[in-house]
Amino acid sequence: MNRLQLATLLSWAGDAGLQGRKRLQKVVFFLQEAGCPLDCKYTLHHFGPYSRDVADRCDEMVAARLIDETVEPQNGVTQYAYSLKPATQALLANKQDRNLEPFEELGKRLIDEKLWLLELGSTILLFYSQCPDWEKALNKACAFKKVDPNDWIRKALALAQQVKAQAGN
Amino acid sequence: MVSDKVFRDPLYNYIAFDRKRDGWLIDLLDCPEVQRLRRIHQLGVSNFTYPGADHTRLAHSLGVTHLMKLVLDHLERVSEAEKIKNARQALLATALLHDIGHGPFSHLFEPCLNINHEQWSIAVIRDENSSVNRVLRDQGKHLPIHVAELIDSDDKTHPAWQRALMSSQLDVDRIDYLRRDSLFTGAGYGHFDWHRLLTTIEFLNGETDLVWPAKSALAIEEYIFARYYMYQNVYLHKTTRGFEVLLQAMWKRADALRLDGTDINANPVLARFWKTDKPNPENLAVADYLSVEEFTVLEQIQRWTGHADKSLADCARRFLDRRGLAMVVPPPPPNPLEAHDFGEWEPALHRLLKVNGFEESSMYCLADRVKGKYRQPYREEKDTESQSAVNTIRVMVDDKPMAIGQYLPRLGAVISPPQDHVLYYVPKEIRNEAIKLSRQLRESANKPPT
Repeated sequence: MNRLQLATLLSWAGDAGLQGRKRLQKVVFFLQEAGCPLDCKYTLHHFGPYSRDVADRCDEMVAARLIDETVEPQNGVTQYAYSLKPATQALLANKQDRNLEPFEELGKRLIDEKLWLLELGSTILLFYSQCPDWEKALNKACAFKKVDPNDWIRKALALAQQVKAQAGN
Repeated sequence: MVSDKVFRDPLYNYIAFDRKRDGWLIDLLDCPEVQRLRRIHQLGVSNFTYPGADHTRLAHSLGVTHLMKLVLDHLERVSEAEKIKNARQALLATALLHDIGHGPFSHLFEPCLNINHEQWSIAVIRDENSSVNRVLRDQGKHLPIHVAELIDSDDKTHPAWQRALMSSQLDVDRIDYLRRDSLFTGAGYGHFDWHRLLTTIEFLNGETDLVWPAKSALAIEEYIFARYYMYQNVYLHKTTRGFEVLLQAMWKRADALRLDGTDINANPVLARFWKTDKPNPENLAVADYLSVEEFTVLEQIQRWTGHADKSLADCARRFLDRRGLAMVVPPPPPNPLEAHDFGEWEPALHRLLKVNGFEESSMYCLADRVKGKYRQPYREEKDTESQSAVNTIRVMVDDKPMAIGQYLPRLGAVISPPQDHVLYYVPKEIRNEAIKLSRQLRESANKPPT
């Protein structure tokens, strides 16, 4: 993922910015699985798919003063939020990555989605990418996240399936 | 009474294997695939810059095994001994074999051959025809798989502590290569209290993750600074990087000619290697991969010195004669969001090369793009919930793990994420003109629009 791509993705989050590093990780993962050419390497980590490429690009753009990072303690845990600086918004107005346009609607929806749904859905999708069987992927994700299958998990599965279906379109 | 098997080593003085307990490691060491590591330079072409940097992957692998033994002995003493004993064989073997899939000149040549050494390390260990596989199998049916899984950075089968000892932000591999590279280059930056790091490591609340006590924080700080200095002075040295990009450009040129049907006078080993477009373990036999050695590559480069393609022959000669390219800093990119687009710079540089007789200008205008992460001595995951021994070094403060960057905020100066970095390499003959060109473009970018 290059700077232009991350800036484009954050522009979809609007002035409120994108809330949380985990959310950023999962949104990029879903977009990639939907066919968006972001080229980030993911591995299975504590909360599902995790990419050092994403974390590095984000930190690098904060250090380059292209992105604002706000830090707030929340329930004993530090919560990060990311938004574009006004100068970066101006740069983006002159230069767009057209390859990302087809994914804007999905990206916006994912940015606003519940975090746990993103976590669980992306974990299901990661297991599915290793072995294309939805039931097996669901069971593996439930075992990994230590949860029992229920209605909410079915919602996460539906989200994973919708994203995968977009890749086929 | 059986005596230890002892090796002399410039870093540790003596590396000793207890024949009764770990004697089988000597059989592993004697395998041809391990002995091949004697013929791979640990630091690629850094010896073009530091003449003493001729140490090999074998000496490093032995050093890593020694450190792994020290840390396992310590953990066995201070924690659940059975847990450590059960993993001992696999971890010592992983330490000795972790680099077994490296190709000529270590990392730098991987893009030339389009290979990934980790993938090949796993393939060599899993290959039932390999000697290392046989020695491992003699110790336990599942041992080759366990070792291959520990080397695979994507594999999470085994507990985090086993993976972290071998591959993390502070592991036995990094400790050995920092100290060894420092000693052999003579750069002298790799000093830190490594013994304290290995003998104070502990399990987090008796679980599977690893941390250090706060009293080791300064040793960790020293280690991070050692990495920082080694990156600045050795690993990213401009002369070394210049030869690396020259070698890669030469190989790219040969590939283009070869794929275009031109006879590139390939030696038999490389001719066999080049029969497949994708040289991965699915398409190429392990034995054919391992037969590509540094001397194979050097012999091939010597062949190219007489090739009809002028630029291929010239680059081959430059490489062998150590007539490198000169580094030039490009002007800043016009749009910071497109950090790799330097606008007018590259076209102007190509014109300059052609005017000066370098017709195949793409061979002499070489961009060295170093990702920020390769210039960062240590990075830690900010999100506390996502931290583990693999991605963050943590010390125990008030019975809770804390990232070292948070515990020692002064580290911020060296661990803040650097930006991607691009430098250009051109023939020394046009260096001054290229520097002038870069300056002109920089100045015109700073001028307010009229």
